[in-house]
Amino acid sequence: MGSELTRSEFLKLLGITAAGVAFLPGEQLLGGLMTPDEAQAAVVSRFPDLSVATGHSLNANHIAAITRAALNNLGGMGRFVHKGDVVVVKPNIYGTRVPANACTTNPTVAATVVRECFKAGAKQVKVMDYPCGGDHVQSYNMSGIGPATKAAGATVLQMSSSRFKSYPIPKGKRIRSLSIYPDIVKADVLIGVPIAKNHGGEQISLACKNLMGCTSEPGKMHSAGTGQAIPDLVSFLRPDLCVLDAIRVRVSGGPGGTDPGSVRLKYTVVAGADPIAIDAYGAKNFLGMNPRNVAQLINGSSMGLGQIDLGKVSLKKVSL
Amino acid sequence: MSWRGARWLRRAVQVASLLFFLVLAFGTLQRFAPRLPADAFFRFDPLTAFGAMIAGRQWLWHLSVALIVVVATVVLGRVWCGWVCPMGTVLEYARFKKARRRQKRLPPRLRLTKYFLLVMVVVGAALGSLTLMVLDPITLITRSTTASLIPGIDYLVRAAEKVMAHVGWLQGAVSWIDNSVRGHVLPAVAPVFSQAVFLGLLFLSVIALNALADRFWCRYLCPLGALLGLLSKAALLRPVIGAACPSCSGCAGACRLGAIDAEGKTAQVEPGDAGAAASEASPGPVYEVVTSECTMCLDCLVACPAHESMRVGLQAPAGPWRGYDPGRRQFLTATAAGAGSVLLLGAGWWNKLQPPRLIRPPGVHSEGAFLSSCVRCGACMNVCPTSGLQPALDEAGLAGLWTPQLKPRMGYCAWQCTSCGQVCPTGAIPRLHLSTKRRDVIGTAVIDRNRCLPWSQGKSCVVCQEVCPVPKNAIELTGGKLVTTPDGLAEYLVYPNVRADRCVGCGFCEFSCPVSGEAAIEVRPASTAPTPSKDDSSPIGERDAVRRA
Repeated sequence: MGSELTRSEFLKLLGITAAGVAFLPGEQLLGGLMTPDEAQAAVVSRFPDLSVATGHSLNANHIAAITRAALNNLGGMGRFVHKGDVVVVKPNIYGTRVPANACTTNPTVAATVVRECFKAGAKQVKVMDYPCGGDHVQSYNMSGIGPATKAAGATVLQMSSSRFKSYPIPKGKRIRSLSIYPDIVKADVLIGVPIAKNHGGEQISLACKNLMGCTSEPGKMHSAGTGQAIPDLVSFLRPDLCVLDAIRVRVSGGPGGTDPGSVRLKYTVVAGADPIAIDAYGAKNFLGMNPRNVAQLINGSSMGLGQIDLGKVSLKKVSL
Repeated sequence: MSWRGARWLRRAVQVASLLFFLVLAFGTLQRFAPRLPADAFFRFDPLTAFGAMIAGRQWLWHLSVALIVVVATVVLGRVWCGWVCPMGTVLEYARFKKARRRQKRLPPRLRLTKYFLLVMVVVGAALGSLTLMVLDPITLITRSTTASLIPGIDYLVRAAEKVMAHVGWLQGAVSWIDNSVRGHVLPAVAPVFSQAVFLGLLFLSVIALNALADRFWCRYLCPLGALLGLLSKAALLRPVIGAACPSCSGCAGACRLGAIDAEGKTAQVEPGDAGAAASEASPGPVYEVVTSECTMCLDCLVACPAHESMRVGLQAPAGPWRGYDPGRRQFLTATAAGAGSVLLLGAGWWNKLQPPRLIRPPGVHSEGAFLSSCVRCGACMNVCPTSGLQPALDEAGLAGLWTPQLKPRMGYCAWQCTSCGQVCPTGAIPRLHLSTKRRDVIGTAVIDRNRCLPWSQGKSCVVCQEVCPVPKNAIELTGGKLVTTPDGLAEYLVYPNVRADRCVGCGFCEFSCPVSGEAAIEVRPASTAPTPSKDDSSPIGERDAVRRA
């Protein structure tokens, strides 16, 4: 150790500097004084926590426009993806379902996110999920996400069971270690692109629950109780950006139901960096649930993973 | 074309046929909608085709092309065995040096065995039992490829991948295998078969028998070979030995089937040369080709040093009955054995008790009719995308040996799949429209509350509900409430219950249940007995219907 800076000391120093900088007036002045990261941190405050874009049609071009609007109001993809980054886009590819079932992420939303990543200078965009049971090839194809994101230039990967690695979850309360796909852990940027659907056992399946597709041990999480296991996973694998697809919303029968009667058309995409806030918003507005009654959000908020109180979340809404 | 050239042509046809077999096996592997005709070889195999028709008491039009092989055999002899049969090709090229010496010590009467087995198979089929169809060479090689060869190759590749995954610069290769090879050539889901080792060893034993004699299986055991052998007794064409024979035994030494009788009993001279042969009065013994054993491989013609002495010619009349051809006594014994085997196979606990855990593929509702039409080939297990269809050992009684059964803990019946019915060569598993298949009840799930995580331990888990594909979920959740665990964490508790009126028994829940060992939710045969169908006309089927009534 000696005179070298430890991580905690560095963080303290960073906090003090940032606090000091915050008192300094004027953006031009800041631009000159701050490191790029700090400058970005200051810029964040100019943008809302959540950006909500709502349209009116299922037309693919229109869905792409909704997605772009949601991202632009958040400051654009450039805020999250930088030149040369390797990005992992993690849609929800539940299994062999078609988009109309509203169990899997809308392929156009996923493909638009991929395109925006490339526009922001991403070197490579990998798209993957671990469908719950069954065949990757079939699930990728039936959901439409495989072909759509491939056309957008993404590398669509099947998670090889041989390549999963066990990672320690230092902040985990119930899950201490979990086998996770290394590409996701090592990526420069992780973007979750979940679909909004209800979940019989876990109440909601939004941004936090979507991360369960990164592990090959969902059973371990179920045995531990998902109410805490999901926040444990979020504490380790927090996405840099979440883009919630609420074009079609499954309000009951989730996560895998196929009855058309419980699918609602909301034509909405919500984007934000805080997975708890985005889930709280989704639970309240799309699934009609009080976020304070959702176990994974209660535990996530008490772990300090994000803001469950929607009153403290700044919103920017736009209608197309 | 010289005989040497013709032999090369034969070898090319053989290899092409074996390759076609493998292309079919790998090309239909775990496919939802197999585009290749997985049943191609069965359409031409007269034993399975007509066996299934006899046992099922119905004419199967798509199998009637097997008549082509019957006609070909009557004209050309056992060309199927020497040119087409993939099993025969494997056995022809798996050669052992000492076999040549050993096979001379085997009694010729051993050849009777195959006729014995053939009669047993046919008598069994006539009585409605296809259990002995496990001896057909095409079902044998299909079953072995499905349950052992492909899983073995897949296991090797996966093991190699596991090692490669630790080496940085090989990551690309692992990724390439998983993204470009898996799901295309190799299976996406690891195929696991409970009897992989057993069936693999059986197949290897058939090959190992070659150490005793060349093409041991084809000479002594193959019931299809016996059927074609009987037909080729009357074959129009066969290799004939002319008067110019130098008696060198070259042809007899070259014959892998030992079909050339070099002991020189009677000089059988072809009709056309009769006068010439008689006048020349050749000094040495003139050999004879036994048509029922000859596979028309042409090796003898290549081996003959005096080319003019041997050729493929007309045979008239039909070849004589040999000492190792079946006689009346053997025929009667085999008939009795066949009938006895059906009685023995049918007599067991499964007569009194419906098999408690037997889940059949979708569309199969009459156990009796199923046993009378399934040829035990295993094509359905190869195509099953989840590897859930497994060969039965005794789960369906001995009579149901190696018939397909759904083992949900190994793999479930995929919601969007109708493959097994599409590849079944005999229609034992009916070809169902997807919408029909989705409503077809093959079983009912049952929850064991003593093992279920929410019911027994108060943990939140509804994986069964999560995966249930039925439109209005067959897992009904009750008692949802938010609770605080002793260590102060929030948990949403909800309890799963099976709605038997909605459950179709696909077994996805049993497959996915995170409880270790046996699942806390298991599929049992449907709790409502299906009504016996009208086509249930075989003896076993009637017995089955009576049992259910």
